[in-house]
Amino acid sequence: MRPSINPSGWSATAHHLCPRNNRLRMPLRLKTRLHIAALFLLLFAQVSCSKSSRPGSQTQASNQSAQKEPAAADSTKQAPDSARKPAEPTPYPGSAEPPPPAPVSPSGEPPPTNGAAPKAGAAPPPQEVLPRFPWPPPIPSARLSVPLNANSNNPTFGNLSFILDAALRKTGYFEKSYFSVPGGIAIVTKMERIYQDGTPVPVGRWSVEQPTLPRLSLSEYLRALFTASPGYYRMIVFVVTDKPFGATNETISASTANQWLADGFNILPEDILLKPLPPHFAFTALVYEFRREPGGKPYELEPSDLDARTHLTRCGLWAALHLQ
Amino acid sequence: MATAARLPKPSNIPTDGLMSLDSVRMKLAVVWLTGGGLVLVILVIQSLLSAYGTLTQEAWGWFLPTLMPTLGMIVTVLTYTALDPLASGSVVRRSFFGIALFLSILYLLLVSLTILIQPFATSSPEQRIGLMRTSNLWLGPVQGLVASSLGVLFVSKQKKES
Repeated sequence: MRPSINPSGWSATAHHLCPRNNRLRMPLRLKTRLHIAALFLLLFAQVSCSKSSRPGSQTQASNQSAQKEPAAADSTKQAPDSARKPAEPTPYPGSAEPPPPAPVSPSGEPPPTNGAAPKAGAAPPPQEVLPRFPWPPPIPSARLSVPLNANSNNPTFGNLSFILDAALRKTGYFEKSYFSVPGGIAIVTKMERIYQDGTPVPVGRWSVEQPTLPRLSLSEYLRALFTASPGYYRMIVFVVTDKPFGATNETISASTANQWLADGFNILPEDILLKPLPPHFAFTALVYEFRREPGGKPYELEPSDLDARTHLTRCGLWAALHLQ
Repeated sequence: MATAARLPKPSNIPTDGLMSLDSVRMKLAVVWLTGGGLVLVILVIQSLLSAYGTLTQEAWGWFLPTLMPTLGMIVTVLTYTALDPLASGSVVRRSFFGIALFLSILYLLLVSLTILIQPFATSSPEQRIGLMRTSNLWLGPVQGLVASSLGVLFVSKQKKES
């Protein structure tokens, strides 16, 4: 017999259509009860899940995704993941094992973790470990080992940082960031707009956008009216370490380089300031130069038309550091 | 024939308050060809020197509908009337010519200003194109007024005697 459909949606077979009508009601009641029980179970499971989850886990996840968004949005150059996320640990050359998840101090020792030896009732110490600079660094436009003298019998990272900081301020670099590298530190200056010869532009030096007419003259006006000259930008990274290093084959995008300034520390932690410099340290300047075509996005020049010494001379740092 | 003899002879000398249509058209044509040609030359040089980068096509997309319809009409009418001897007898009120001339100069100045102000107001090709698009807000209405006035002058064939 072909089954018929009753108004409740149940298929009524010959077995269900027996004279006793409550045969059909029983499964309906049972199903309703089962539905209610399932709803309660779901509610209970949801409440227990929300209680067991950590309060900061969602915030951390959103922060991580927010950090990845700018790098993903940047499509000028294919930069490595290590270059895009400098705050994350990167594998060091020569290390057979994968790197620890936390950054390292300039001495190469792993940083103390909060759960290592916490004192009862004491607040956890503030984390003063520099974020890592991408290592080995992305290929720079120009590189130079600067013969810098620390001017002290027992030079520390603090002495050298003080000398460099004074020179940077003298030449107009007031914003910088500190990173850790194997065996030392890295100082990243803010990206500046320069002329093609490496001289910083007098107006709109720190602006990523092309400035309007810099000075009112007929020649400048005609040049600005009929041409759209490309923009040149520069970021200098000073690396202080006694460990030899090379560079990756990947260039970086301007947005990644700009992100370095935000990711690094504004000052050096005290323990690093007092740490003595390695006896055979090298002070290396990595120059990242970018060119921006009219209507295009900036891309790294590799190599630069100028050498690193010319860059340092034109920006005034060579003289400010009293280099010969 | 006697009736025809009593009628005043057609004269090409305009009376007070009237101007020859030919001279009006010629003056307006000179204004438009000079102003439009100046903007055209600037835009060509800008395009050759890549002042608009990859957005050169957008710049010309703004320029062509801004000037070419009016310039095309002027040149077409002048070319047509060059072969029509009857067109020389038409006249135009001097006041109307003044209005048409004022509107034409105003429009050409606004178009030129959009390009000549770029070094002060913009710093990238995107901003230049943005400025051109913004200028359509005021160029559109003025262009409508100019087209109305010039359309009458360059299409009218009413003669002074009639």
